[in-house]
Amino acid sequence: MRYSGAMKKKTTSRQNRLLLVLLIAVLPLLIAASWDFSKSSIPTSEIMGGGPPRDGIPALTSPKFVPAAGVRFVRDEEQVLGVILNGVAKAYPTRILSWHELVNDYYLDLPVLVSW
Amino acid sequence: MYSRLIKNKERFFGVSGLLYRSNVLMYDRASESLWSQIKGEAVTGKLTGTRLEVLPSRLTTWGKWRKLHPESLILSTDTGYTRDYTKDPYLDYYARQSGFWSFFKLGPGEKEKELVVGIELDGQARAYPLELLRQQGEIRETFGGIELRLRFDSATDSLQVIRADGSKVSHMLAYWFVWKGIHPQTGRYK
Repeated sequence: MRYSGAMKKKTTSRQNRLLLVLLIAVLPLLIAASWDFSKSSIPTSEIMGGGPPRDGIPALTSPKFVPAAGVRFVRDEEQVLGVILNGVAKAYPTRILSWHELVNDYYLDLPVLVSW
Repeated sequence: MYSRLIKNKERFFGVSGLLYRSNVLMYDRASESLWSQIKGEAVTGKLTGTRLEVLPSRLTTWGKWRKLHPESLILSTDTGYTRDYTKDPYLDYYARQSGFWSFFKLGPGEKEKELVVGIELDGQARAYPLELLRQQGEIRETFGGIELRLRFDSATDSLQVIRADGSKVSHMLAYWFVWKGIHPQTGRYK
């Protein structure tokens, strides 16, 4: 019994290792298959999955804003990204930005991308 | 921050989930080209080589910002997504010294996750440690034959890079190892 148990364990660990090696080998192919790499300016073999899938971190596309006066959910010492453009001033608390990384926003008619 | 106008057409961007040398790669939904977030340049796909126009933004605190701009708006936590906005998910990442991989050896006194002011002139890259600029308030140097002045005002956290004629040079704030990842040949001010 003990002997066969050890055998089983050995096989499983070998299978796991094989799976891991396969995954490492196949992952770049999967990435290359889902994006257009026919043109590029960087070695695409160095493009790696960062963990979350495409849009796993959801970029914001219709962000809502509130006036600064009376805001209570942000403390004065907290970090924000501040922007003043076309006469409009906006602040983006970085702890909110971290959950979305990108905000597709507008300053009057100018479309902008806030990236964090 | 960037303009989303490319050849007068508006583009929308998403997070690809991919990284290139510690650089987040974003993508535009229309062409699905991948873009380096730090460089603001498409690195794969139809738009390869296209650059986004950099727009000014500053990293500051809410207290300083609302005093300067009492009429300011602030991004709401009502985003349509359920997230714990009381916590920054990258707190551990900020504190940790190493990324997944190290692409270069740090020089003496350098830290991977120190913020640098990165500029590019005529395809040449240069980085200025933000902490050094904060302490000195001003850095003057000639880079690529151009006289540059970097100014940091700690009362307002405003940061400017200007040429001798007063014209502005666009800059990015980035972690040193991220900047170096996308600009391996970058110089660094000491």
